[in-house]
Amino acid sequence: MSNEIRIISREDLPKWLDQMLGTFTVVAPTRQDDYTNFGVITSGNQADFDAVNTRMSPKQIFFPKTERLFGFATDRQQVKLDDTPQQITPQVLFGVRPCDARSIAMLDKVFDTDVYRDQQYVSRRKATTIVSLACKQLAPSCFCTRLGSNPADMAGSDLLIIELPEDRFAIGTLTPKGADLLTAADLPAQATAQDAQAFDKAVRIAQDTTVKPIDSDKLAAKLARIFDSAFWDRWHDRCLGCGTCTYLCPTCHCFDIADEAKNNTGQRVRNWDSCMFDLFTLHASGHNPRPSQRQHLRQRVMHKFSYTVDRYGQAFCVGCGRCVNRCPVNIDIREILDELEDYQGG
Amino acid sequence: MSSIEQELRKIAADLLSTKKVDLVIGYESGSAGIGVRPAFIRSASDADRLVYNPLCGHNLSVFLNRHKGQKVAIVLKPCDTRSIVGLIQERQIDRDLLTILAVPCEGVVDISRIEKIVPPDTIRSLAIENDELVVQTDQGPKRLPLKDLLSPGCAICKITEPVISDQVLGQSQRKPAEGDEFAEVQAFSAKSPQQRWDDFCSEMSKCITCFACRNACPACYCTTCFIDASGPKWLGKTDHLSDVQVFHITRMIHMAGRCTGCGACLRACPVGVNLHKYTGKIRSDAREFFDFEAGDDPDAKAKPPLSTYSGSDPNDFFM
Amino acid sequence: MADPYLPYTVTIRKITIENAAKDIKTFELVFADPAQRQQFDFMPGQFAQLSVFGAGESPIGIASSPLDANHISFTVKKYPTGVVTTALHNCQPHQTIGLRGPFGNHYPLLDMLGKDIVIVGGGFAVTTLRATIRYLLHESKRSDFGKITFFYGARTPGELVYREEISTWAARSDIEVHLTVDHPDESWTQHTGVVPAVVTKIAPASSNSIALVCGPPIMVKYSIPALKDLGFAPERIITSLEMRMKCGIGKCGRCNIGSKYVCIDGPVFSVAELERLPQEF
Repeated sequence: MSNEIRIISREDLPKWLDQMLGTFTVVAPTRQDDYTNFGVITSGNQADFDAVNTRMSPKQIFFPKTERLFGFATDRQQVKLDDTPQQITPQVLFGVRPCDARSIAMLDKVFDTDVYRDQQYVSRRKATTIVSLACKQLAPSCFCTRLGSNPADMAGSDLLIIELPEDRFAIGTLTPKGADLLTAADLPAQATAQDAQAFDKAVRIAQDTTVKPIDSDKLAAKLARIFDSAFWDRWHDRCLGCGTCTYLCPTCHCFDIADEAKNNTGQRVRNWDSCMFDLFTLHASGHNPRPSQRQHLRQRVMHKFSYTVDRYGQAFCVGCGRCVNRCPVNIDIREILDELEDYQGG
Repeated sequence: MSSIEQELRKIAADLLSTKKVDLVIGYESGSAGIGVRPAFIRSASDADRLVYNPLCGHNLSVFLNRHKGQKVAIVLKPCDTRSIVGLIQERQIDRDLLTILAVPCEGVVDISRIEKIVPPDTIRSLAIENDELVVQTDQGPKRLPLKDLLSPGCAICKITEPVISDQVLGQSQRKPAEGDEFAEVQAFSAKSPQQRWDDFCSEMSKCITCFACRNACPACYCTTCFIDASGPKWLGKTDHLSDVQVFHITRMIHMAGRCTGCGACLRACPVGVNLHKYTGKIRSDAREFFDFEAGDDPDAKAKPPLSTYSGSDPNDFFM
Repeated sequence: MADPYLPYTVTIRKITIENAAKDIKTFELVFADPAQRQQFDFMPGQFAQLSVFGAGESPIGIASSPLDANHISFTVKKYPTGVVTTALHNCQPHQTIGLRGPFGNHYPLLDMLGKDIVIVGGGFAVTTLRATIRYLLHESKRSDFGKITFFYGARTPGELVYREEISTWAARSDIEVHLTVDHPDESWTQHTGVVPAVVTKIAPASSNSIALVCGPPIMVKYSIPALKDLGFAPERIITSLEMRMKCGIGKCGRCNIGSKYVCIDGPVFSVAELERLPQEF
């Protein structure tokens, strides 16, 4: 479907968003103090099209930090449960970077399967049209190309916008949902054959990379082999054990389930959790199978680059660079990947 | 390489090769775009990884409780030595096993200030040249005067000398900062209760409860933090503002007489929550009510207000 | 597809204090809607999430047999820092609690058909083994299996759970019961010493035999070599693991050992399988 191309000028982008606001809730990168984050906009002018990456990933739009699973009310011996789903309205997630869109396609593999369908997640996904914005250039912390992706990757997007010269943007249609959004708009002009070529060229340029991607199958097998090796001795010393890497990560999806109650009523909620925390694996008996930072960090790397390859056929890292940028002690996953590839020990 | 770095590497190599210590905790260069990071040096041959410059913000004393029972040498800036004093007074550190390498400090760089000037998406590397920070960007280098980039605590810092040390490297050129250390606190206190509350709510709404502030804080040494305790469970870990606020309020109250204002929490926060004015309030209260400033008195027997009780303790701040 | 997080509501029919320290109780539960008992289709070795609304959920092995038609039971040890186990222990009969599951795999009952069964249990972790024995001894099942030898131990006689039921088993001729304690009292007449030593002493035959082991980590650790010495192949020694678990459906991410989730790929593993996994449990 990428042959359906429309063209829009930079100054018309906010107008297009304004049009959508009549029908959809629009979530887009907005400036918040020192950085951008995804937020609900009330005017197209609030969207920031230039920041490479938002501070928080868009995962919280589908998998919020706290999610109500159901409510309960206890009255003497009786219990009433209420799992009325939350009202979900149609929304457009606009200006997502291709790495983040790709991460959403990965989360789908976790939360939307034949044997398990996470109701809230799937409802939100169904109600959301994802419009991605290809990156003009990689930020210094970006490493999507190492993960076999590129700044115009189409995975997870319904529409992909690529900037062309002279402040024009080409909009490529990737799914019927994307086509519907585009049809409803009356701004974007039909592309000429020349524009279509320009779009294809821009995609090709983005894909043309000199970076050698990791071989995720090979890496997964190697990780399984070196689980007990000295490789893991040298990364965790400085790890503070905070949740920054996992909470900022667009693909990390571990969670806790807890009850929040006051007197006789309350709700069971699902909260984000992190393999970096001691509490994550602590048994009620006091036993902890992963008690140290060394094991926490190994778990994180193994989960991203080995266990998910086994279970979902894909490494769960999109190279967005958030963990690289914000780790308070500069634990850089790119260094770990580089050294893993070279590591010969057993 | 600065003379301090040279000296540091030599001392570290000597301490390790003579087995006076098992571990040297210092700073090394970070990966591309990130200035420096904590370094853990265990052999003399690795000592030349050590660096020291105004990007060395981390308060390394936070790492000491993971190395209990080991002979450790640690690189500390003058204000960081105040954290050590607190840890000794609260019996968290065996002073005999510790070698403090005190380095001079002219103030450290606040990365978030750089990011206000240069978009973080474009920073390729950071380097210090004399009194300038050279930021390599996609558009070429940008030179920024260091004095404009100092961390909030450094701009008002009156600590020029280590309060405790075993070896003092170099000599501090800096004079204690003039002006009121608690000006920000006073400005905040002068606001109406509603304004303060609104300010607090707005600041707390940024927090993602990743606990980087707690985990980067040398004074937060509890084996089980109250928020992780389950017998009883004190509070939830939802994203509701009340959970976030109660966590921070409780942590800050625990910081009374412990917080030295080192800024580790600010530096670690991935979403720019400004805890400084609240911890500043706690520090100014500890000073006002208990005449106690964490880290001031190197006497191991001095007791922080939360570790002691006196009948004459002021209690008017209780509602 | 049903909401996997929404529990059944079940009523506590009976609470039995199982040990001298009174920190182990068995809860007999009945479904608020009896038809749900049919939906709750499980096999011995599986677990479920019990919840006290307001306190939360905790994964507990099912202690009753699927052939116990009317009820389902769980034996729960109370831990000082266990929010849910403490709340459960504070429950009274007729109270309504939540039940989610069944989860995980079960003991390999198909592989066990026609074989002699050696069952090795310790402390209160004997719960799912009790479910298994109740199943094996059921009149409709007993002839499908060979000889059954049951080893069970605890620190003191007072810490052996299901005492009454076990004494009815001991009186039967179709199961051999060996009880042992580390610290006997004056009235103790059976074995003394740790479980693996008793297994070695009694030396059950390993040919055409399968062993199920569940107990405290230290007991499991020493029982495995004891069984191997008797000729049990690692494929024929089956054990069940405990992990901190939240979702029970392989999503929440904490109960993994390598790429296996204990909540869906376990909790029952053969020693051969465990030997292939990272030693992180």
